[in-house]
Amino acid sequence: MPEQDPQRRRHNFEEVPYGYTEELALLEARRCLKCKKPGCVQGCPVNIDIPGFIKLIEEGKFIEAAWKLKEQNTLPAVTGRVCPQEVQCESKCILGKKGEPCAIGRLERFAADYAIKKGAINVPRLPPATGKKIAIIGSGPSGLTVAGDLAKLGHSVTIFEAFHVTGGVLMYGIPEFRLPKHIVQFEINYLRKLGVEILTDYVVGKAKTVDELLCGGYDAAFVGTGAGLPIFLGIPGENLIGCYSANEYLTRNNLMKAYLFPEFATAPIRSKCVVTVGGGNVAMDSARTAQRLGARSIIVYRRSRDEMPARAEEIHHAEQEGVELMLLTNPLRVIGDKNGRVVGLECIKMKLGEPDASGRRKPVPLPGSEFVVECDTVVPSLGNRSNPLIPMTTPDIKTSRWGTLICDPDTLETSKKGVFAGGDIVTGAATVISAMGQGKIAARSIHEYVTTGKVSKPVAKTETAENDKK
Amino acid sequence: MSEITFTIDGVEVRTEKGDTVLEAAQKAGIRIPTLCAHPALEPYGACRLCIVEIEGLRGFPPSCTTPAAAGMVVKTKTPQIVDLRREVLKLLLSGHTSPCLVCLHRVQCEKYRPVSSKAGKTTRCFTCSNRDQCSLRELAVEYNIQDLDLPIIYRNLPLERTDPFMDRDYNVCVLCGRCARICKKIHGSAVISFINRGKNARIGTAFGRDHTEADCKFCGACIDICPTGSLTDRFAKWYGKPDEAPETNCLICPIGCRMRVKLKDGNHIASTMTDFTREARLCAIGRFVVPQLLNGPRRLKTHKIRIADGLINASRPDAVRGAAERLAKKAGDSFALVTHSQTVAEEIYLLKKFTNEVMKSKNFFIAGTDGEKVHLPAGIKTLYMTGDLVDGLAGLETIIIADMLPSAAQQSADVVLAAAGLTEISGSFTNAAGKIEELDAVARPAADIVPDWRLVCEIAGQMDAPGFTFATTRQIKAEMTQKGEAFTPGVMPDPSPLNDTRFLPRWYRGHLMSDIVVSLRALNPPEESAVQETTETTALSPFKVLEKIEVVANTHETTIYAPAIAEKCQPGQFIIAMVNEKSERIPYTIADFDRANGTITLVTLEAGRSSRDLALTARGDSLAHVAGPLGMPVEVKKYGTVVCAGGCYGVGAILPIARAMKEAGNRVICIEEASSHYLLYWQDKLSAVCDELLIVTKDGSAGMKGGIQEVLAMLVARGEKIDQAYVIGCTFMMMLVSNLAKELSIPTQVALNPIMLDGTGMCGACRVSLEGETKFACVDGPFFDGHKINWEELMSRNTSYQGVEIEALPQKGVKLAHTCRCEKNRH
Repeated sequence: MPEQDPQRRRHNFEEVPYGYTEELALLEARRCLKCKKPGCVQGCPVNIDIPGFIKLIEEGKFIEAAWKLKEQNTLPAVTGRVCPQEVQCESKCILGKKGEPCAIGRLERFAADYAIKKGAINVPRLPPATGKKIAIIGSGPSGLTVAGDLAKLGHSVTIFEAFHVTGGVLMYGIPEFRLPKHIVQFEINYLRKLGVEILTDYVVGKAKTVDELLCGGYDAAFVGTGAGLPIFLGIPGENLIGCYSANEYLTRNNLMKAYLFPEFATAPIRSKCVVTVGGGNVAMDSARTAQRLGARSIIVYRRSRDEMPARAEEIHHAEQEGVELMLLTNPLRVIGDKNGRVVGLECIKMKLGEPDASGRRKPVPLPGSEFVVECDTVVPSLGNRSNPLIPMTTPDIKTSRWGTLICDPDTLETSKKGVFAGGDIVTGAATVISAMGQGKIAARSIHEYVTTGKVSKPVAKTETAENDKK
Repeated sequence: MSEITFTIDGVEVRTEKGDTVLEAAQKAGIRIPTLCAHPALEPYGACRLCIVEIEGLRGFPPSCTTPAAAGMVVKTKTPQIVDLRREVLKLLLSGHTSPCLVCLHRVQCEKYRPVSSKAGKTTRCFTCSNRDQCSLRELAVEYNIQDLDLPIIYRNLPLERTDPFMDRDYNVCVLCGRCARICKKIHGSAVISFINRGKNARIGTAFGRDHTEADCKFCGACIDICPTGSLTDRFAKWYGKPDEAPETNCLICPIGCRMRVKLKDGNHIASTMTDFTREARLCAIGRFVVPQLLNGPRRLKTHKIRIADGLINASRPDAVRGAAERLAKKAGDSFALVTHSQTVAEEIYLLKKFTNEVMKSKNFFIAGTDGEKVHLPAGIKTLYMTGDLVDGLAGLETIIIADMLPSAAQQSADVVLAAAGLTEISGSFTNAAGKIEELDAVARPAADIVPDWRLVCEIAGQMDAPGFTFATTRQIKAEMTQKGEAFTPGVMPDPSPLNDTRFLPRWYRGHLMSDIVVSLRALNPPEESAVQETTETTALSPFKVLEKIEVVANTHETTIYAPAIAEKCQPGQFIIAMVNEKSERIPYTIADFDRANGTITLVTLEAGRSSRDLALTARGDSLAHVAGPLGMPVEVKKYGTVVCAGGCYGVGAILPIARAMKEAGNRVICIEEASSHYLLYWQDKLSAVCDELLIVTKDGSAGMKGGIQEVLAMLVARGEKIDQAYVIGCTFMMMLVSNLAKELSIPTQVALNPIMLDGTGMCGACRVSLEGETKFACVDGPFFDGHKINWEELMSRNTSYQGVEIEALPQKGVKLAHTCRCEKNRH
């Protein structure tokens, strides 16, 4: 797929891949074998009719292809960009056995973008209103999916969002150059057209609690509040000025648009050298953002490249843009000056030892290999714990020892009647599409619950995305 | 002139006849303190600080108005005079916002808070932008004024910030009259003068008009001569005391005024006259606009090269190489170079030499200062220009632009070089009078930014062209002299911009200056502006402002309709507000709430851009976003005796806590702390919810003298057993109180207000350390055990964005939200 030149894009926040042209899309769609028993659909957490939409592209019916996507997937323009297709649909593609699998993700993005560009929104005819009210808490990928599916079934849906902007991690976390924010807002506007009510600046738990919502006229509630509690390194010097969680580093730029300071009032983080600690997709996002803000950008990761949880494509993009990788390196202490500002990160070299519980080889320090990386900003990007707000304010909801909500894996009903959950608040930090897959399951359960009062296990167990990559 | 001889403090002094005693003393190096006197002004005798004793004369005549006479015996430092002077000084301080000067904790305060708070109205030294340059403050320290037995009279005049470039806060004014006198001296008739009489006397314009309407020339002399923080330069004020003040000339128009350049970290933040005379005066462009062209947010700071269809940032060597590559093989008359005349002669010479010798072209053009763009002759394919100087770029194959400011033309450029200019460059400038001025580069741009002539030398060097190995403009000048180049003067502008703001220069390097410096639009008719002012889109929101008053100076009480928050909020919680879609998310403690009417009330201080936006809202406006209630409420139960103490905005914040504690059956003692009596508010509201209200002021003008910690000590001394204390206010105050409370073993909860971003536990910006353990103030707090907090770390973290915050402050004049007197008297 054509991409922005790395030398150019390392300085701007515009999207990296340009997307297929019509010609390229037609060529790629022709490669699809339209299998009778398509493996790709099984690989898709939201069960998109993949051969179906690709066939429409092949026929030149781009808008119809986009509508086909929308039947199963509330956010095709988003997932076409951020899904790890290489371990999902595309990994199951027959073509992949001998050569390159069909580029399902890129085709998905092409069709969705085409419809957005043409303004061709197909609002399906909605069934008669059921009169059932459902509260969705959190407007991230899982909440948006539940909202879309339930609205299409005729329920009255309200989304409660604590931030001033709808979209959750799609807005605050994933940077503009990976997921343009107008695309997210376009997809959310589609939900509004379906009749979904969205209340921003509403902190459920602090304003009304889940119990109060259920007593106050809502028939069911879905909790999709995500994993938003940053994990720090737990090493000395972490509270020095210049040490930021990846959440803060990204939120300042993505949600608050600090890179447009002073037009936007939120102060930017101006650095000469940023060290991002971690090897996941969020670390890549932070490091690439740092690069774009004009800093030297270094990633420190304690294992080797093969163990990095980030998508290969993201690591590749980061390196192309000039992000430096310091592998097998573990931070020991953040060093500050007399004004309490970061001036360096002391690290130690590591080597890989025996595999640990996760199956990955455990890194062990090499004594005497300590060294200091001079930098003025350190961004620990070690993942997030689940948001504690709902468990704290909903006494009878059960949580695991990691703070995630305990749910029936097949129905996603929580220990509290009428309350369902999905996404990172259930799985711990995972991917956009796995959250959306859970949204689909929860929507099915909620529909059954509000119409029949019961929740049954689905006949054929739906495959949930289990990889832990974001 | 004949000389006379007399004695001062026993020293024989010779001086010219006609000198005043003060002048004679100054010539002899004998210090007599002054305030209203200024070397540039006629003797005035307003402040009476320079009083002396003269044998044979009754009373204590001011030395500034007393002519020296032969044989006089003058004493300046007798105990009686020093004593009198201290009294005079106290009188002056009682009309100034001076509680910080007599505060017991001043030294500590200045150690922990080295930078003033960016307030609107100046209520005390800590909120004054002029703190480090204040004459009155220096005198108070010199005369060791520790106590004011006179009340401070605060007049609560409105802050005047409607005019371009300057803020005026006459509450700080000591009526020395310097501003009005210098205005009259320089412009013949004064725009500002004393108005009203007696205790209502103040400085102002006739009929209270804005300065723009009152024919102010915006020369800035009044700001520069003001001994206090009454008159301030809006752009420069929060940068603090300048480090250096070298001189150079203004290059904007051919008059080429000499000016003194105020530098902070090498950046030109203000220019002032070299002398307070009519001849040395500056126009608004030299005084205010040049610093903003150089250091405003729109200054180009990076070089750029085109790759494919986009411009990317590049280092200077890369950009120079890129330019050289694109100019190679383009020699001939298809090349044109367009520059401007607002620079030094060496630069123009060198650019011409480059055009003729390296590019072998005769197409060298100098654009005028009138904004008229150059029309290129037919056949030009390659263009190098040093600004936004050419009309019609279509048909050009290669465009290289060296500039200091952004332009639309740069979108089509192949290379954009960020250049230095104005006070950042050295060289010769022939002014309209024909005088050749030798200029030094005084301001220092970022490391990678150099003057145009040096860029061209580097490009020529890359192209292996000989004759461009100059290291200084002096070397270029030597070559010019050798070749007999003439230094031709520019044309004197007529009418002069120094006399009429309508004739101010409008263009710099082909940019309309009012597009770059927005406040200039107040002086230049807006219809000539090429850029339409962007209107901010604020989404419709339910967060309507129902009431808004400035409850005391710089402290704003805002009541907002937010039923979902009002229904659930508990004492001690806060909200996150965004005034518009481009605001920061800022936490504010809920000061009061009304569940029945669905409202919450905030008490906020103006201390930066976002709190200023909130301060400027008016009844009927809507805030874009309000989220909450956030944070953990205080634990309301029966403790016994509970102290609720607040300072600044915290006075508002303790109200709901005191009320709840009282309702829970506690004996509640409220302590309200303020710097001075004129900053006290809500005593009636607090009295209604507590058993005892104690007032404490830093200057002792109401209640006890001191701070909350002094009151706590007093309570313990009188035998009170305090079971629980809640303290809300600035971090510094909470630290002082907590330190004492720890010694006295009083359980103390403080409400921390660190920098936050989301306020829901997502980012960790607000982390604080409690005995080594990290907590998030937004979700774990805002209340923490004051005994355990790592205060040093917290204070340090609060300075994270100190420099950046100044840049965020808007420069355009604004009207303060209307506050009518009936509302003001409500409390």
